[in-house]
Order: sequence, then structure tokens, then C-alpha cells
Amino acid sequence: MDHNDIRHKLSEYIDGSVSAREKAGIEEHLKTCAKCSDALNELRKTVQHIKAVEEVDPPAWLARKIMAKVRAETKEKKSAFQRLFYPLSIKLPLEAMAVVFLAVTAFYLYQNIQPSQKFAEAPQTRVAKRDANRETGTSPRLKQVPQAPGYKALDMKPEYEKPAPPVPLGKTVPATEGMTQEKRLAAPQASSTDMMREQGGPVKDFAVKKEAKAATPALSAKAKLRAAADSTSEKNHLTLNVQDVAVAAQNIRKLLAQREAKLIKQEVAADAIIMTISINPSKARSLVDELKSIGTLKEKDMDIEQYEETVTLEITVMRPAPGVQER
Amino acid sequence: MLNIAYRLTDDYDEACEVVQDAFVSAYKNIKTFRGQAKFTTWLTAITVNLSKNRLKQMRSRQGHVAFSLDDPVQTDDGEMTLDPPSKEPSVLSVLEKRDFRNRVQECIKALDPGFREVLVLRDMQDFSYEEIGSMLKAREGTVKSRLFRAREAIKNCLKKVVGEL
Repeated sequence: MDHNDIRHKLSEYIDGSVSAREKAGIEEHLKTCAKCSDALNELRKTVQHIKAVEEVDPPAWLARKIMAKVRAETKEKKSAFQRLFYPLSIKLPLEAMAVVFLAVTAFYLYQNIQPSQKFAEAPQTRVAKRDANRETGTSPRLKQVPQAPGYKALDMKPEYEKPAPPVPLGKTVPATEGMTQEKRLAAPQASSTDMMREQGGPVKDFAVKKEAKAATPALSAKAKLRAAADSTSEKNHLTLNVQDVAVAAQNIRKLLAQREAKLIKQEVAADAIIMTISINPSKARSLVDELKSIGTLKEKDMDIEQYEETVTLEITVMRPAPGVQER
Repeated sequence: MLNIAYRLTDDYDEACEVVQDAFVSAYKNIKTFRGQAKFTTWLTAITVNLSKNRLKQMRSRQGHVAFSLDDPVQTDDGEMTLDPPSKEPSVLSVLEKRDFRNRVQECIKALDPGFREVLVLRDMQDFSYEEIGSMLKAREGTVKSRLFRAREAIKNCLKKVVGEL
């Protein structure tokens, strides 16, 4: 080893990390080389100075802060976990349940409010509408079609597609005529009744015939009931304006009893009673005449005579609404 | 750990931050510690690495300031190129006022990071060449030569500052 090598090894020599052979060589050289021994001394002193440099003390808060940071780290992991999975597992079903709850509540509220509204408004608005239609002739269908037995079905849209009231065999023809008139309205381009029959008639005709058969004199009690129920779908509406609804209703009930009429349904509102009755057509006319003596009767053009067995009348007994009275 | 970070970053507050980050990092990565080295060695390696990164950040932060001492200065007589006096005497005069330990610290600060970390780990923290090698992922020979140069540099620095050792 030459002088330079030994100088480079001095650092290791201080640390005692040189091999025994190197150590012997270095010590041999140091005896003769003053420069190297000076360098070694300086190096030793330098290292001593470096080692003597005082250490800094950690601030008191460091340990606490480190622990807080580590805890925050674990918490952060947890909260991130929650952020990912909380909404899916818990939040979403909760939200869904809330939405369903709101929907159900809204539905029930609507359901509860709707019938009472309908009931409260029904008699007056219905009468007003009907009167308006009759007086002004706003309905285009009414304008076009001369009033025929079957046209009423047109006036009541929801009942349009329902089967015609049971009619006896003998009266099938006018009913069918009414129906063909309906059809003509639905398809104005069709020119003849025969054509109509070809297009869609047979099925309907068949239905009419079937019902007509059911209404023959050999009618069973069950069939009668059905007929009555069916006939309700095509009620004849009467509106009776009276001052005292209760008394009028009492009188009507008496009249009904005299004529063996059946009270099918009775709806009572604040100032009105709607009675649905079924009566023998032969007695219906006299009933209508009697009603005129009780109060002001407004009747739609009825053709009571078309019915043989029973006719269904819907009598609305009410105090005259201001709007109606004016007219 | 704090002392290592402090010696490597030269900033007490930064060193505290580094130590905190080192512990959090160690906590997170405890699974990666496979017991091949001593735990202290592993922890120290993390501290050294974080200190290095911090030092880089600090330097780049300073580098972002678009200011140069050599920029011309506006004076009454027009623009004038700045010609500052050499730093040496002023540093010397400052150092003279401090005690010897502070001068040693100043000399350590003046070292290049590569030399400084070896010096700190060996002479201040008493790690073996082997441990330092594994911490810095350097060969033992490299550590030895770096340490020698670092010590020589400190020696020369002290000689310059104090005169005699």
C-alpha cells in the first residue's frame, strides 16, 4: 500500500473496519509518515467533533401528533370504507323505503280526497253540464244525429262500449238501428248498414241477440236480476228540484211503494239524494208525472216505452243550485 | 429519527413532519417489513428516504421563485449589474460568533446530501457500514469512500473556519 491508499484507508482505520493485514500495514506506515499521522489525528478529532454535535430533542407534541396521525389514518380508512359501502347497504334501502312511503301516503291521500270531492260536486256539475249540452247543443254528435233510442250511449262516453240494454225480441230492430247509427258515427265513410255488419257487426249483433233471448218472458229470477243490473248501465236521469229534499224523498218513496218499484241504490249528500230505482215501464210514466207535482222536474228525453220488463231511473232530488235556478 | 431527519433537511419543523410521515408510512407498510433487517434499520431507511424527498421538495420550492442575485439592479445612474462581495468572509464572521459545535453543524450542512447522509448515519447514529449500505441501497465500498470524503470535507471546512482542529 502506498501513501495515498493508506490516506484513503484512514477513515476505515478509525472505525476499525480494516482487516488485520491492512491494519498492520497502516500502523507500519504511520510510524514513518508524519503527514499521514497528522491526517489521522485530524480525522480523529473531526469525528470526535461530529459525534459531539448535540442532538436535537423532539418537541413534546411530536409523539402525540404522530399517534393522532396514525389514528386518523386508520379512521380515514374506516370512513372511506363507510363512504363506499354505507350508501349501498343502508342508505339506498332507506331512501327507497322513504320513496315508497311517500308514494303510498300520496296515493291514500288522493284516494281519500277524491271520492268526497266527486260526491260533493257530482249532482250540481252533472246537471249543469247536461243542461248546458241540451240548451246550447254544444255536443257535435247531438247536432249531427237525430235523436234515436241508442244515442244516449254516445252521451256517456265510459259506457259507450258496453252492451245495449236488454230488449225483447220484438224490439230488437230499433235497438239495432240505433247501434248502426252509432257505428256510422264512428266510421262516417261507411255508407250502408250491410257494410257495417260485415265489418264488425256480426259479433255485436250476436251479443244483442243473446241478450234479447235472455230477456224473453221465460226469464228466470237470476236473469231478471242481471237484466236489472245491466239496465243500470243505461239509466234514465231525472233531476227533481225541490225545497225540502228529505220530505221530497219521503214522498218519492211512497210513490215507489205504490208502483211496486224497487229502490236499487240511494246516495245521500248534503243537499241531494240520488235514488236509483227500477220500475215497470208501464208505471214509469205515471211516476214521472207524479214527480212533477213534487217539484220542478227536469228529464232527459226518455223513451221508457222501449223497455218491457223494467226500466232504471236515476232520480236526483236536490235543492236547486243557484246557477241552475237562474236559467 | 428526528436527528437524522434534522441533519438531512436542516429544518427542525420539516424534520418533525418527516418523522410523523415516517411513522405513518411505517404503520401503513408494516406488512412489507419482513424482518430481513433490524426494525430500526428499516425505520431509519424510511426516514432517510422521506428526508431526501422533502429536501428535493424544499429545493424545488425555492427554485420556483423567479429571482436571481445576478439580475441587474435599477439605480439612479441606470441599470447596474449586481456584484455582491464573496460570501466567505461574511460566513466566517458569522461563524466566529458561534461556538464550535455550531461551526461543525454548519460544515455538515454544507455537505452534499449523498455525503451528508452517510456521515450522519455513521458518525452520529453509529450504524455499521453494512446497515448503511442496506438503508441507502449502496455497496459497502461506496459507503466507505463516501464517508471518507465526507470526513475530509468536514475536516477541511473546520480547518478553514476555525484554523486549527
